[in-house]
Amino acid sequence: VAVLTDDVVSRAVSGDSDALAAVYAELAPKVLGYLRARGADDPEGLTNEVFLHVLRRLGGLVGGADGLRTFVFSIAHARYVDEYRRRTRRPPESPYVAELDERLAPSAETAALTGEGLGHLSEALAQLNDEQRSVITLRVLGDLSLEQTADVLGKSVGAVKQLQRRGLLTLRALVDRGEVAL
Amino acid sequence: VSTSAVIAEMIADLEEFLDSTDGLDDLLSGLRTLGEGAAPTPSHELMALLAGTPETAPVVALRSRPASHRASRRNAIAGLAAATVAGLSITGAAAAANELPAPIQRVVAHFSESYLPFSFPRPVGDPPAPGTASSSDSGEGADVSTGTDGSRAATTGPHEPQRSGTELRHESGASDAGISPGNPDGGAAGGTTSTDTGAETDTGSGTGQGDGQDHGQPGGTDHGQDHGQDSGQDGDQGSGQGSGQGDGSTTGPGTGQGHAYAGQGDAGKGVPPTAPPGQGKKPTSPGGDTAGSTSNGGGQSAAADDSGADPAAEAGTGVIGSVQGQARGQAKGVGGGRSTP
Repeated sequence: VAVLTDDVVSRAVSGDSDALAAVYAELAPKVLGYLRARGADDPEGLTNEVFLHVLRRLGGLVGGADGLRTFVFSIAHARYVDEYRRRTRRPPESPYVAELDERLAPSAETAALTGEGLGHLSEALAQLNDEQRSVITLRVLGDLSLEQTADVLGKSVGAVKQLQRRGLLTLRALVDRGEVAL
Repeated sequence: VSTSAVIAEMIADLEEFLDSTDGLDDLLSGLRTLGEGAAPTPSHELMALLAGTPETAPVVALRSRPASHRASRRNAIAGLAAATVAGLSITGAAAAANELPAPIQRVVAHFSESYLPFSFPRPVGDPPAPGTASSSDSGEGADVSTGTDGSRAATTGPHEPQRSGTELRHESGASDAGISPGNPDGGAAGGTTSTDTGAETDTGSGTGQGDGQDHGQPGGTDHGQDHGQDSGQDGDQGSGQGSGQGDGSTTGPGTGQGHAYAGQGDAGKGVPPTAPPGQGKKPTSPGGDTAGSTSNGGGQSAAADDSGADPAAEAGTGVIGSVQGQARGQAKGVGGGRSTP
Protein backbone atom coordinates (compact mmCIF):
# COMPACT_ATOMS: atom_id res chain seq x y z
CA VAL A 1 0.00 0.00 0.00
CA ALA A 2 1.45 3.23 -1.08
CA VAL A 3 1.73 5.77 1.60
CA LEU A 4 1.42 9.39 0.70
CA THR A 5 4.22 11.17 2.45
CA ASP A 6 5.65 14.63 2.12
CA ASP A 7 8.70 13.19 0.41
CA VAL A 8 6.64 11.42 -2.20
CA VAL A 9 4.66 14.54 -2.80
CA SER A 10 7.84 16.57 -3.08
CA ARG A 11 9.19 14.23 -5.72
CA ALA A 12 5.89 14.26 -7.52
CA VAL A 13 5.95 18.02 -7.62
CA SER A 14 9.42 17.86 -9.17
CA GLY A 15 8.06 15.57 -11.89
CA ASP A 16 9.21 12.17 -10.71
CA SER A 17 7.09 9.63 -12.52
CA ASP A 18 7.24 7.05 -9.73
CA ALA A 19 6.09 9.58 -7.22
CA LEU A 20 3.34 10.68 -9.57
CA ALA A 21 2.21 7.10 -9.95
CA ALA A 22 2.25 6.68 -6.18
CA VAL A 23 0.12 9.78 -5.76
CA TYR A 24 -2.33 8.52 -8.30
CA ALA A 25 -2.47 5.04 -6.77
CA GLU A 26 -3.07 6.48 -3.32
CA LEU A 27 -5.62 9.18 -4.08
CA ALA A 28 -7.42 8.03 -7.22
CA PRO A 29 -9.43 5.27 -5.45
CA LYS A 30 -10.50 7.69 -2.77
CA VAL A 31 -11.55 10.27 -5.32
CA LEU A 32 -13.42 7.60 -7.22
CA GLY A 33 -15.14 6.49 -4.00
CA TYR A 34 -16.06 10.06 -3.16
CA LEU A 35 -17.59 10.60 -6.58
CA ARG A 36 -19.45 7.32 -6.37
CA ALA A 37 -20.78 8.17 -2.96
CA ARG A 38 -21.97 11.49 -4.29
CA GLY A 39 -23.75 9.77 -7.16
CA ALA A 40 -21.73 11.07 -10.09
CA ASP A 41 -22.81 9.70 -13.45
CA ASP A 42 -19.35 8.78 -14.67
CA PRO A 43 -17.08 8.59 -11.62
CA GLU A 44 -14.22 6.99 -13.52
CA GLY A 45 -14.17 9.62 -16.23
CA LEU A 46 -14.55 12.36 -13.69
CA THR A 47 -11.63 10.94 -11.71
CA ASN A 48 -9.51 11.14 -14.83
CA GLU A 49 -10.48 14.75 -15.31
CA VAL A 50 -9.63 15.53 -11.71
CA PHE A 51 -6.14 14.14 -11.98
CA LEU A 52 -5.52 15.72 -15.34
CA HIS A 53 -6.23 19.03 -13.71
CA VAL A 54 -4.19 18.20 -10.62
CA LEU A 55 -1.11 16.98 -12.44
CA ARG A 56 -1.03 20.01 -14.75
CA ARG A 57 -0.92 22.29 -11.73
CA LEU A 58 1.19 20.21 -9.46
CA GLY A 59 4.28 22.34 -10.02
CA GLY A 60 3.22 25.11 -7.68
CA LEU A 61 1.88 22.91 -4.95
CA VAL A 62 2.91 23.62 -1.39
CA GLY A 63 1.86 22.01 1.87
CA GLY A 64 3.17 18.50 1.43
CA ALA A 65 0.84 15.51 1.61
CA ASP A 66 -1.91 17.36 3.45
CA GLY A 67 -1.79 20.16 0.95
CA LEU A 68 -1.97 17.73 -1.95
CA ARG A 69 -4.88 15.86 -0.42
CA THR A 70 -6.78 19.09 0.15
CA PHE A 71 -5.99 20.22 -3.37
CA VAL A 72 -7.10 16.95 -4.96
CA PHE A 73 -10.40 16.82 -3.14
CA SER A 74 -11.03 20.46 -3.79
CA ILE A 75 -10.80 19.71 -7.49
CA ALA A 76 -12.91 16.59 -7.12
CA HIS A 77 -15.61 18.45 -5.25
CA ALA A 78 -15.62 21.24 -7.81
CA ARG A 79 -15.85 18.78 -10.67
CA TYR A 80 -18.71 17.00 -9.03
CA VAL A 81 -20.58 20.26 -8.47
CA ASP A 82 -20.07 21.19 -12.10
CA GLU A 83 -21.30 17.81 -13.26
CA TYR A 84 -24.28 17.98 -10.95
CA ARG A 85 -25.29 21.39 -12.22
CA ARG A 86 -24.87 20.28 -15.81
CA ARG A 87 -26.97 17.22 -15.17
CA THR A 88 -29.64 19.30 -13.49
CA ARG A 89 -29.89 21.65 -16.44
CA ARG A 90 -30.12 18.83 -18.99
CA PRO A 91 -31.14 15.46 -17.69
CA PRO A 92 -29.57 12.66 -19.68
CA GLU A 93 -31.76 10.50 -21.86
CA SER A 94 -30.97 6.84 -22.24
CA PRO A 95 -32.95 3.80 -23.30
CA TYR A 96 -34.28 1.51 -20.64
CA VAL A 97 -32.12 -1.48 -19.83
CA ALA A 98 -33.57 -3.93 -17.39
CA GLU A 99 -30.20 -5.05 -16.15
CA LEU A 100 -29.41 -1.53 -15.09
CA ASP A 101 -32.68 -0.94 -13.30
CA GLU A 102 -31.69 -0.40 -9.70
CA ARG A 103 -35.24 -0.89 -8.54
CA LEU A 104 -34.81 -4.61 -9.03
CA ALA A 105 -33.59 -6.54 -6.05
CA PRO A 106 -30.16 -7.98 -6.81
CA SER A 107 -29.37 -11.58 -6.18
CA ALA A 108 -27.09 -12.51 -3.31
CA GLU A 109 -24.33 -13.28 -5.71
CA THR A 110 -24.66 -9.98 -7.46
CA ALA A 111 -24.73 -8.16 -4.15
CA ALA A 112 -21.62 -9.97 -3.02
CA LEU A 113 -19.78 -9.19 -6.23
CA THR A 114 -20.71 -5.58 -6.51
CA GLY A 115 -20.52 -4.68 -2.88
CA GLU A 116 -23.80 -4.80 -1.19
CA GLY A 117 -23.05 -2.01 1.19
CA LEU A 118 -23.13 0.69 -1.48
CA GLY A 119 -26.84 0.49 -1.94
CA HIS A 120 -27.49 0.90 1.76
CA LEU A 121 -24.91 3.62 2.05
CA SER A 122 -26.53 5.45 -0.81
CA GLU A 123 -29.85 5.25 0.95
CA ALA A 124 -28.32 6.50 4.16
CA LEU A 125 -26.49 9.35 2.50
CA ALA A 126 -29.61 10.28 0.60
CA GLN A 127 -31.19 11.19 3.94
CA LEU A 128 -28.61 13.91 4.50
CA ASN A 129 -28.68 17.28 2.96
CA ASP A 130 -26.04 18.16 0.43
CA GLU A 131 -23.71 19.97 2.79
CA GLN A 132 -23.86 17.25 5.44
CA ARG A 133 -23.18 14.66 2.76
CA SER A 134 -20.21 16.60 1.51
CA VAL A 135 -18.66 16.95 4.94
CA ILE A 136 -19.03 13.30 5.89
CA THR A 137 -17.83 11.88 2.59
CA LEU A 138 -14.89 14.23 2.40
CA ARG A 139 -13.81 13.44 5.90
CA VAL A 140 -14.22 9.67 5.65
CA LEU A 141 -13.12 9.08 2.08
CA GLY A 142 -10.61 11.87 1.75
CA ASP A 143 -9.09 11.54 5.17
CA LEU A 144 -9.48 15.24 5.59
CA SER A 145 -9.39 17.06 8.86
CA LEU A 146 -11.97 19.61 9.86
CA GLU A 147 -9.70 22.38 8.67
CA GLN A 148 -9.03 20.73 5.34
CA THR A 149 -12.70 20.03 4.82
CA ALA A 150 -13.47 23.64 5.64
CA ASP A 151 -10.94 24.71 2.99
CA VAL A 152 -12.45 22.44 0.39
CA LEU A 153 -15.99 23.62 1.03
CA GLY A 154 -15.10 27.22 1.67
CA LYS A 155 -16.70 27.21 5.08
CA SER A 156 -15.52 27.84 8.55
CA VAL A 157 -14.33 25.02 10.75
CA GLY A 158 -17.21 25.57 13.13
CA ALA A 159 -19.73 25.32 10.33
CA VAL A 160 -18.14 22.14 9.10
CA LYS A 161 -18.12 20.70 12.56
CA GLN A 162 -21.79 21.53 12.99
CA LEU A 163 -22.67 19.98 9.63
CA GLN A 164 -20.74 16.86 10.50
CA ARG A 165 -22.47 16.53 13.84
CA ARG A 166 -25.97 16.92 12.41
CA GLY A 167 -25.18 14.49 9.63
CA LEU A 168 -23.94 11.85 12.02
CA LEU A 169 -26.97 12.28 14.23
CA THR A 170 -29.20 11.71 11.24
CA LEU A 171 -27.31 8.57 10.29
CA ARG A 172 -27.46 7.35 13.84
CA ALA A 173 -31.18 7.80 13.86
CA LEU A 174 -31.46 5.82 10.66
CA VAL A 175 -29.47 3.02 12.20
CA ASP A 176 -31.58 3.05 15.30
CA ARG A 177 -34.77 2.85 13.29
CA GLY A 178 -33.31 0.02 11.20
CA GLU A 179 -33.73 1.95 8.01
CA VAL A 180 -30.11 1.31 7.14
CA ALA A 181 -28.90 -2.24 6.98
CA LEU A 182 -25.40 -2.54 8.24
CA VAL B 1 -4.42 11.38 9.88
CA SER B 2 -5.65 7.93 9.11
CA THR B 3 -9.11 6.90 8.06
CA SER B 4 -9.79 5.16 11.29
CA ALA B 5 -8.55 8.10 13.21
CA VAL B 6 -10.91 10.38 11.33
CA ILE B 7 -13.86 8.09 12.00
CA ALA B 8 -12.88 7.78 15.65
CA GLU B 9 -12.63 11.53 15.95
CA MET B 10 -16.02 11.97 14.36
CA ILE B 11 -17.66 9.48 16.69
CA ALA B 12 -15.90 10.88 19.70
CA ASP B 13 -17.21 14.30 18.89
CA LEU B 14 -20.69 12.86 18.73
CA GLU B 15 -20.56 10.88 21.96
CA GLU B 16 -21.40 13.87 24.10
CA PHE B 17 -24.73 14.05 22.31
CA LEU B 18 -25.52 10.35 22.21
CA ASP B 19 -25.50 7.60 24.73
CA SER B 20 -24.46 5.04 22.19
CA THR B 21 -22.92 5.24 18.76
CA ASP B 22 -23.34 1.61 17.96
CA GLY B 23 -23.67 0.88 14.32
CA LEU B 24 -22.54 4.32 13.29
CA ASP B 25 -18.87 3.39 13.09
CA ASP B 26 -19.79 0.38 11.00
CA LEU B 27 -21.72 2.60 8.67
CA LEU B 28 -18.80 4.97 8.30
CA SER B 29 -16.40 2.10 7.84
CA GLY B 30 -18.61 0.78 5.06
CA LEU B 31 -18.45 4.21 3.50
CA ARG B 32 -14.72 4.15 3.78
CA THR B 33 -14.51 0.95 1.79
CA LEU B 34 -15.76 2.86 -1.23
CA GLY B 35 -12.35 4.46 -1.46
CA GLU B 36 -10.31 1.30 -1.09
CA GLY B 37 -10.79 -0.17 -4.52
CA ALA B 38 -8.40 -0.08 -7.39
CA ALA B 39 -7.53 3.12 -9.10
CA PRO B 40 -9.41 3.63 -12.35
CA THR B 41 -7.50 3.10 -15.53
CA PRO B 42 -5.99 6.40 -16.52
CA SER B 43 -6.68 7.78 -19.94
CA HIS B 44 -3.87 8.16 -22.49
CA GLU B 45 -3.48 11.81 -21.71
CA LEU B 46 -3.34 11.13 -18.02
CA MET B 47 -0.87 8.31 -18.55
CA ALA B 48 1.39 10.68 -20.43
CA LEU B 49 1.26 13.10 -17.56
CA LEU B 50 1.95 10.37 -15.03
CA ALA B 51 4.95 9.26 -17.08
CA GLY B 52 6.37 12.74 -16.87
CA THR B 53 6.03 13.41 -20.61
CA PRO B 54 5.79 17.08 -21.33
CA GLU B 55 2.29 18.01 -22.20
CA THR B 56 1.51 18.92 -25.71
CA ALA B 57 0.58 22.42 -26.59
CA PRO B 58 -2.85 23.42 -25.41
CA VAL B 59 -5.51 22.80 -27.95
CA VAL B 60 -6.95 26.22 -27.39
CA ALA B 61 -3.74 27.84 -28.47
CA LEU B 62 -3.58 25.74 -31.60
CA ARG B 63 -7.07 26.74 -32.54
CA SER B 64 -6.69 30.37 -31.76
CA ARG B 65 -3.83 30.91 -34.18
CA PRO B 66 -5.65 29.97 -37.38
CA ALA B 67 -8.69 31.80 -36.19
CA SER B 68 -6.75 34.99 -35.63
CA HIS B 69 -4.93 34.48 -38.90
CA ARG B 70 -8.18 34.16 -40.77
CA ALA B 71 -9.56 37.17 -39.04
CA SER B 72 -6.56 39.29 -39.91
CA ARG B 73 -6.72 38.06 -43.49
CA ARG B 74 -10.36 39.00 -43.75
CA ASN B 75 -9.60 42.41 -42.32
CA ALA B 76 -6.78 42.90 -44.79
CA ILE B 77 -8.98 41.99 -47.75
CA ALA B 78 -11.77 44.21 -46.55
CA GLY B 79 -9.38 47.09 -46.08
CA LEU B 80 -7.87 46.60 -49.49
CA ALA B 81 -11.30 46.52 -51.10
CA ALA B 82 -12.34 49.66 -49.28
CA ALA B 83 -9.16 51.43 -50.31
CA THR B 84 -9.66 50.37 -53.92
CA VAL B 85 -13.22 51.60 -54.00
CA ALA B 86 -12.26 54.88 -52.40
CA GLY B 87 -9.36 55.36 -54.79
CA LEU B 88 -11.48 54.66 -57.84
CA SER B 89 -14.18 56.99 -56.63
CA ILE B 90 -11.80 59.84 -56.00
CA THR B 91 -10.00 59.29 -59.28
CA GLY B 92 -13.25 59.11 -61.16
CA ALA B 93 -14.55 62.28 -59.61
CA ALA B 94 -11.33 64.09 -60.34
CA ALA B 95 -11.26 62.75 -63.88
CA ALA B 96 -14.84 63.84 -64.48
CA ALA B 97 -13.89 67.29 -63.32
CA ASN B 98 -10.82 67.23 -65.51
CA GLU B 99 -8.67 68.03 -62.56
CA LEU B 100 -6.22 65.22 -62.80
CA PRO B 101 -2.73 65.89 -64.04
CA ALA B 102 -2.67 65.97 -67.80
CA PRO B 103 -0.92 62.64 -68.38
CA ILE B 104 -3.20 60.84 -65.98
CA GLN B 105 -6.24 62.60 -67.32
CA ARG B 106 -5.22 61.55 -70.80
CA VAL B 107 -4.84 57.94 -69.78
CA VAL B 108 -8.14 57.96 -67.97
CA ALA B 109 -9.85 59.59 -70.91
CA HIS B 110 -8.43 57.07 -73.31
CA PHE B 111 -9.44 54.24 -71.07
CA SER B 112 -12.95 55.52 -70.70
CA GLU B 113 -13.28 56.08 -74.41
CA SER B 114 -12.17 52.56 -75.10
CA TYR B 115 -13.79 50.52 -72.42
CA LEU B 116 -16.45 52.49 -70.65
CA PRO B 117 -19.87 53.52 -71.76
CA PHE B 118 -19.05 57.08 -70.89
CA SER B 119 -16.07 59.22 -71.52
CA PHE B 120 -14.02 61.40 -69.32
CA PRO B 121 -12.86 64.65 -70.78
CA ARG B 122 -9.45 64.85 -72.24
CA PRO B 123 -6.99 67.22 -70.78
CA VAL B 124 -7.14 70.75 -71.93
CA GLY B 125 -5.22 71.24 -75.09
CA ASP B 126 -5.54 67.71 -76.33
CA PRO B 127 -7.34 67.06 -79.54
CA PRO B 128 -10.76 65.65 -79.11
CA ALA B 129 -10.97 61.97 -79.19
CA PRO B 130 -11.94 60.40 -82.45
CA GLY B 131 -15.44 59.27 -82.32
CA THR B 132 -16.65 62.01 -80.15
CA ALA B 133 -19.13 64.42 -81.54
CA SER B 134 -18.07 66.79 -84.19
CA SER B 135 -20.32 67.53 -86.97
CA SER B 136 -19.37 69.26 -90.03
CA ASP B 137 -22.30 71.18 -90.86
CA SER B 138 -20.95 74.40 -91.96
CA GLY B 139 -23.04 74.54 -94.95
CA GLU B 140 -26.54 75.55 -94.83
CA GLY B 141 -27.59 72.83 -97.10
CA ALA B 142 -26.83 70.28 -94.55
CA ASP B 143 -30.10 70.66 -92.94
CA VAL B 144 -33.51 69.94 -93.87
CA SER B 145 -35.78 72.67 -94.57
CA THR B 146 -38.68 72.49 -96.70
CA GLY B 147 -41.17 75.05 -97.29
CA THR B 148 -44.64 74.17 -96.75
CA ASP B 149 -45.29 74.88 -100.22
CA GLY B 150 -42.54 72.77 -101.30
CA SER B 151 -40.18 75.53 -101.76
CA ARG B 152 -37.04 75.47 -99.97
CA ALA B 153 -35.62 78.42 -98.44
CA ALA B 154 -32.84 79.59 -100.48
CA THR B 155 -29.89 79.73 -98.37
CA THR B 156 -27.02 79.74 -100.63
CA GLY B 157 -25.79 81.78 -103.31
CA PRO B 158 -25.44 85.37 -102.57
CA HIS B 159 -26.03 84.81 -98.98
CA GLU B 160 -23.25 82.51 -98.53
CA PRO B 161 -20.73 85.08 -97.70
CA GLN B 162 -22.80 86.02 -94.78
CA ARG B 163 -22.65 82.52 -93.54
CA SER B 164 -19.22 81.73 -94.33
CA GLY B 165 -16.69 81.84 -91.72
CA THR B 166 -16.98 80.28 -88.40
CA GLU B 167 -20.33 79.72 -87.06
CA LEU B 168 -20.78 78.49 -83.66
CA ARG B 169 -23.58 76.19 -83.34
CA HIS B 170 -24.72 74.63 -80.24
CA GLU B 171 -25.74 71.22 -81.05
CA SER B 172 -25.68 68.45 -78.71
CA GLY B 173 -25.49 65.70 -81.13
CA ALA B 174 -23.93 64.71 -84.26
CA SER B 175 -26.74 63.88 -86.40
CA ASP B 176 -29.57 65.85 -87.55
CA ALA B 177 -32.86 64.44 -87.89
CA GLY B 178 -35.04 66.86 -89.48
CA ILE B 179 -38.63 66.41 -90.08
CA SER B 180 -40.21 69.10 -91.93
CA PRO B 181 -43.70 68.42 -92.77
CA GLY B 182 -44.59 70.55 -95.58
CA ASN B 183 -47.76 71.74 -96.88
CA PRO B 184 -48.37 70.19 -100.19
CA ASP B 185 -50.32 73.05 -101.28
CA GLY B 186 -48.06 75.64 -100.15
CA GLY B 187 -45.90 75.74 -103.11
CA ALA B 188 -48.57 76.43 -105.53
CA ALA B 189 -48.33 80.08 -105.41
CA GLY B 190 -44.93 80.52 -106.54
CA GLY B 191 -44.35 77.33 -108.16
CA THR B 192 -41.18 77.28 -106.41
CA THR B 193 -38.56 74.87 -107.08
CA SER B 194 -35.62 74.54 -104.99
CA THR B 195 -32.76 72.56 -106.05
CA ASP B 196 -29.81 71.61 -104.10
CA THR B 197 -27.07 71.57 -106.48
CA GLY B 198 -24.31 71.57 -104.09
CA ALA B 199 -22.43 68.54 -103.29
CA GLU B 200 -21.96 68.11 -99.69
CA THR B 201 -18.89 66.59 -98.55
CA ASP B 202 -18.13 66.46 -94.94
CA THR B 203 -14.80 65.20 -94.23
CA GLY B 204 -15.30 65.14 -90.60
CA SER B 205 -14.99 61.85 -88.99
CA GLY B 206 -17.41 60.29 -86.78
CA THR B 207 -20.72 58.80 -87.04
CA GLY B 208 -23.93 60.45 -87.31
CA GLN B 209 -27.40 59.73 -88.00
CA GLY B 210 -29.70 61.98 -89.69
CA ASP B 211 -33.16 61.74 -90.68
CA GLY B 212 -34.98 64.24 -92.56
CA GLN B 213 -38.00 64.30 -94.50
CA ASP B 214 -39.05 66.79 -96.91
CA HIS B 215 -42.64 67.00 -97.29
CA GLY B 216 -42.54 69.67 -99.77
CA GLN B 217 -44.92 69.02 -102.42
CA PRO B 218 -46.38 70.32 -105.51
CA GLY B 219 -45.36 73.86 -105.36
CA GLY B 220 -41.81 73.05 -105.47
CA THR B 221 -39.45 70.29 -105.47
CA ASP B 222 -37.09 70.30 -102.76
CA HIS B 223 -34.14 68.28 -103.50
CA GLY B 224 -32.57 69.18 -100.39
CA GLN B 225 -32.54 66.06 -98.47
CA ASP B 226 -29.26 67.13 -97.41
CA HIS B 227 -30.19 66.56 -93.91
CA GLY B 228 -28.44 64.64 -91.33
CA GLN B 229 -25.66 62.57 -92.54
CA ASP B 230 -23.30 64.98 -91.21
CA SER B 231 -20.16 63.25 -90.75
CA GLY B 232 -19.72 65.21 -87.72
CA GLN B 233 -21.98 63.89 -85.11
CA ASP B 234 -24.49 66.18 -83.87
CA GLY B 235 -27.07 65.07 -81.55
CA ASP B 236 -29.75 67.46 -82.00
CA GLN B 237 -32.95 67.26 -80.42
CA GLY B 238 -34.61 70.30 -81.45
CA SER B 239 -37.59 71.44 -83.09
CA GLY B 240 -38.29 74.45 -84.94
CA GLN B 241 -40.70 76.00 -87.11
CA GLY B 242 -40.09 78.37 -89.76
CA SER B 243 -41.85 80.03 -92.45
CA GLY B 244 -40.64 82.07 -95.18
CA GLN B 245 -41.16 83.22 -98.56
CA GLY B 246 -38.83 83.09 -101.35
CA ASP B 247 -39.13 83.77 -104.89
CA GLY B 248 -35.69 84.03 -105.90
CA SER B 249 -33.18 81.57 -106.71
CA THR B 250 -30.00 81.12 -105.03
CA THR B 251 -27.20 79.26 -106.28
CA GLY B 252 -23.88 79.06 -104.90
CA PRO B 253 -21.54 77.20 -102.79
CA GLY B 254 -21.69 77.33 -99.15
CA THR B 255 -18.91 77.21 -96.83
CA GLY B 256 -18.79 77.50 -93.23
CA GLN B 257 -17.83 75.97 -90.06
CA GLY B 258 -19.90 74.80 -87.34
CA HIS B 259 -19.00 73.67 -83.93
CA ALA B 260 -21.15 71.65 -81.81
CA TYR B 261 -20.49 71.14 -78.23
CA ALA B 262 -21.45 68.33 -76.15
CA GLY B 263 -24.58 68.40 -74.25
CA GLN B 264 -25.63 71.69 -75.46
CA GLY B 265 -28.44 72.52 -77.55
CA ASP B 266 -30.31 75.60 -78.12
CA ALA B 267 -33.80 76.05 -78.97
CA GLY B 268 -33.84 76.43 -82.55
CA LYS B 269 -34.36 79.77 -83.84
CA GLY B 270 -33.97 80.18 -87.37
CA VAL B 271 -31.94 82.93 -88.64
CA PRO B 272 -33.46 83.51 -91.88
CA PRO B 273 -31.13 83.90 -94.63
CA THR B 274 -31.39 87.12 -96.21
CA ALA B 275 -32.14 86.94 -99.77
CA PRO B 276 -30.82 89.51 -102.00
CA PRO B 277 -33.20 91.81 -103.56
CA GLY B 278 -34.97 90.35 -106.35
CA GLN B 279 -34.34 86.91 -105.36
CA GLY B 280 -37.20 86.39 -103.20
CA LYS B 281 -38.06 86.43 -99.66
CA LYS B 282 -36.19 84.24 -97.47
CA PRO B 283 -37.97 82.00 -95.16
CA THR B 284 -37.65 82.35 -91.58
CA SER B 285 -36.85 78.93 -90.58
CA PRO B 286 -36.29 78.37 -86.97
CA GLY B 287 -35.96 74.78 -87.68
CA GLY B 288 -34.05 72.60 -85.46
CA ASP B 289 -31.10 72.28 -87.62
CA THR B 290 -31.84 74.23 -90.58
CA ALA B 291 -29.33 76.26 -92.25
CA GLY B 292 -28.33 79.28 -90.48
CA SER B 293 -30.13 78.38 -87.40
CA THR B 294 -29.22 77.32 -84.06
CA SER B 295 -31.05 74.48 -82.65
CA ASN B 296 -31.93 73.49 -79.27
CA GLY B 297 -31.69 69.93 -78.35
CA GLY B 298 -31.12 67.53 -75.66
CA GLY B 299 -28.74 65.25 -77.29
CA GLN B 300 -25.54 64.01 -75.99
CA SER B 301 -22.23 64.27 -77.47
CA ALA B 302 -18.84 65.30 -76.53
CA ALA B 303 -17.28 68.26 -78.05
CA ALA B 304 -18.71 68.11 -81.39
CA ASP B 305 -16.73 70.14 -83.64
CA ASP B 306 -18.40 70.77 -86.74
CA SER B 307 -16.39 72.32 -89.33
CA GLY B 308 -16.83 71.93 -92.88
CA ALA B 309 -18.39 73.35 -95.79
CA ASP B 310 -21.70 72.49 -96.94
CA PRO B 311 -21.60 73.55 -100.44
CA ALA B 312 -25.13 72.89 -101.11
CA ALA B 313 -26.11 75.07 -103.81
CA GLU B 314 -29.65 75.60 -104.00
CA ALA B 315 -31.43 77.12 -106.76
CA GLY B 316 -34.98 77.64 -106.56
CA THR B 317 -37.67 79.99 -106.25
CA GLY B 318 -39.69 79.90 -103.29
CA VAL B 319 -42.87 81.67 -102.86
CA ILE B 320 -44.58 81.80 -99.64
CA GLY B 321 -42.78 79.04 -98.17
CA SER B 322 -42.98 77.97 -94.70
CA VAL B 323 -40.75 75.65 -93.06
CA GLN B 324 -41.46 73.43 -90.24
CA GLY B 325 -38.80 71.26 -89.22
CA GLN B 326 -37.77 69.15 -86.47
CA ALA B 327 -34.44 67.83 -86.02
CA ARG B 328 -33.73 65.10 -83.74
CA GLY B 329 -30.73 63.10 -83.42
CA GLN B 330 -28.15 61.77 -81.24
CA ALA B 331 -24.67 61.00 -82.05
CA LYS B 332 -21.26 61.21 -80.83
CA GLY B 333 -18.20 62.00 -82.70
CA VAL B 334 -16.03 64.57 -84.06
CA GLY B 335 -16.35 65.86 -87.38
CA GLY B 336 -14.09 68.28 -88.88
CA GLY B 337 -14.40 68.62 -92.44
CA ARG B 338 -14.74 70.81 -95.23
CA SER B 339 -16.81 70.42 -98.16
CA THR B 340 -16.33 71.85 -101.40
CA PRO B 341 -19.05 72.38 -103.80
